[in-house]
Amino acid sequence: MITSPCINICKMDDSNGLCLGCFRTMDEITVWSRTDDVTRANILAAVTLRRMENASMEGPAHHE
Amino acid sequence: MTMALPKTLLVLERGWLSANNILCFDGDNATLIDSGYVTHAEQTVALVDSALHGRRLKSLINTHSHSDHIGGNAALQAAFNCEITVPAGLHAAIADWDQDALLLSPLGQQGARFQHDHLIGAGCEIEMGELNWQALAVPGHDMEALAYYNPEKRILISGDALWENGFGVIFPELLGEANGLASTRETLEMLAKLAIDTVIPGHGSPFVTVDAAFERAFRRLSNFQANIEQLAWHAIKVIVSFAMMEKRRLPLADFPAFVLSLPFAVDVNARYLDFSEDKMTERVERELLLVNALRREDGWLVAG
Repeated sequence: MITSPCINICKMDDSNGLCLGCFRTMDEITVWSRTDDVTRANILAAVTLRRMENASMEGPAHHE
Repeated sequence: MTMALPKTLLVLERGWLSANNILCFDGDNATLIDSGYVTHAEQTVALVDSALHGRRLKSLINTHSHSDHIGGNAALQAAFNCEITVPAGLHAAIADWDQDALLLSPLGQQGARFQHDHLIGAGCEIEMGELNWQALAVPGHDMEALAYYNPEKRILISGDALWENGFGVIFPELLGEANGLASTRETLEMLAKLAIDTVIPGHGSPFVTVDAAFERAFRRLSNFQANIEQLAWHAIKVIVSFAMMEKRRLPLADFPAFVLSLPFAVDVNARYLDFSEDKMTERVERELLLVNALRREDGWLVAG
């Protein structure tokens, strides 16, 4: 089973509606325990994309 | 494999720092079981609000009173005006907000004070998610903890008494109290006799591999009973790991002082292991790095 991308930050970014830690939407976090691996893989792919977009916007410095 | 839980139950599973929040829907009303860690409370309120879809959060009930299970109680009460029910044995600790009894001070954890409205004892029955649940005493990890069992759907909401891989740290002996290990055995033996198809644990995904979980739990418990130093060392690592999840990251050089700032870690080491400060902090760091609970990043230690 694909494990959750949660990294225990668990705080929403009001500017984009994504969790500051895992880059998931509220709906994606809420349904996680009910989803199958295909849906999970899709969520993780979306998360990776958002993370990359965020990194290119923010520059290389560390943000948490 | 995806769990086929009844539609009336929704598990909000995040990482290890926040215990699972289980939403149980009853028509226009809902009950939440456990509320996560305090630093996540704002998101917990938002997630619950979104999942309610206009229903009313009428009650909040806890399996036990550790910080990762009750941290959102105050915020949820403020947001939804829900009534809070806690295990009867925790009445005094919560009413007096006894930070030692609640393990907040020894573990270096935070909490947000709340007042409960009701108590629930072992043997009580409660309706949640259109199902009838029996409250079961599951002493061990927390001597006052309750689990909730539905015989019809054969579901156990186990809190920290049983996980897919083990159970919560058995604290009593390590805190100078009695019977944690023996109680854990009795609890596991009692639970193992129940007809259970699905466990919704306090941490981690719901699981159906129940026999294997019991096997692992009994094996782990036997190791701890044969060698309490093993329990002591395990507990120190868990508590440091939990504290780092909250802290997120700190300069490598600050890690030893961080470990030594946790009274529980220092005390358990002094009583059971007697490692030098250097040896303890180096070993914790090495072993947490080994299991990826920590990682090194440009002179920093970062959680998970």
